[in-house]
Amino acid sequence: MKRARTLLAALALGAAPLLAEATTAPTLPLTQQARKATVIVRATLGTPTRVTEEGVTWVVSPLTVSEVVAGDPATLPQREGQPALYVLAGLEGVPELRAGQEGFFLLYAGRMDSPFVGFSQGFYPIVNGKVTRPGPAAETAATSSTATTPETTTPTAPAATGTTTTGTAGTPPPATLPADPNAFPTDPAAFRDALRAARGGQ
Amino acid sequence: MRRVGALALALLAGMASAASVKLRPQGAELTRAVEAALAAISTPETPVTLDTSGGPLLVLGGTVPFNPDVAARTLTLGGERRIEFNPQGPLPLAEALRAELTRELGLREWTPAAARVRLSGADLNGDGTIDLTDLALLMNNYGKTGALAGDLNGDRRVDDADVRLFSAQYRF
Repeated sequence: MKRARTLLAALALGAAPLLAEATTAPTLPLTQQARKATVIVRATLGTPTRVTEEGVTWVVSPLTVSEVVAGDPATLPQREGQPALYVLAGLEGVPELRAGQEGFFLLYAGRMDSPFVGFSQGFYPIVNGKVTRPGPAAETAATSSTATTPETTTPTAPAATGTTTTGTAGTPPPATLPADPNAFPTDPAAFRDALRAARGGQ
Repeated sequence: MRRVGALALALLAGMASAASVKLRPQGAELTRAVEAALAAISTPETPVTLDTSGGPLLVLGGTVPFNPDVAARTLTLGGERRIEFNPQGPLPLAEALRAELTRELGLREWTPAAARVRLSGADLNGDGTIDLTDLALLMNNYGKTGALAGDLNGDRRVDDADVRLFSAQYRF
């Protein structure tokens, strides 16, 4: 006997763990991110505030820029005379932005839901002097980085297996990106140089 | 003994079950795309149908400009969950839709097998397979009342009806 029934799957789904990524955006290699970015800066995040403009609410985080890698930060949306990140309030899948967090920001200048290149990918926090990825991976990278010398260039992306590039103590890290497109230098100066190299020395 | 008998009968019954997913696609194009996507994970034994009485809103486009690298975004506005698809995004609508729904429905992949496991409710421990561990969980609550693991038909009791539903999903 064949008998059909309807399950209220949505009710059951409420208890289901969602996948880590909450938004569909293809992964972009760092070189591509660097080329697509309008502005690349090393900066520190200020305290985020909620701002409603023309009926749309944004979470606005001011940026204190310490170094311009590419582009002009003045072209970014401004808040109280300072460049700022405008992220659409209620949006899932964007990096958690904490006041005081320093990092590299690869950004689009126009006003859109998320200013990060790759939607969420263009943010690389600097943790314990190392460039990381946001989220748990950043903590892992930060923890593991304590066992390496400052000159060691270590891929931190999950997919970066078996492609560690290690520099010699006292030797500057390479200015080019590792062969693995998902890997990147963790030394901030090397990371900056790699970004510039990806943009063709701009 | 009666429980074992009921289980054996149910396992032999080979019944089919259907699952409906609650989504609210807006517009004809998106509705057609959702129906096509659900058809791709349906089988005669486990049809998956669209229930538009609830669930997140699915919208093509949005009021705020999209990041050019995003195919779809999820946001909550005024307490309402929305999945908005970028008309100029990097992926075709059908592909973006499958990716979003795979995540939204908690499927491992967009296949009939993954849908059967996830949507049947028989994967009681949520490990991605329907096996004897799930059956043990159900039988542990057999004869009990309340919102319990194994109450597959949602009638707040675990009984032969739930065993029969489980049997429709279990594969030796």
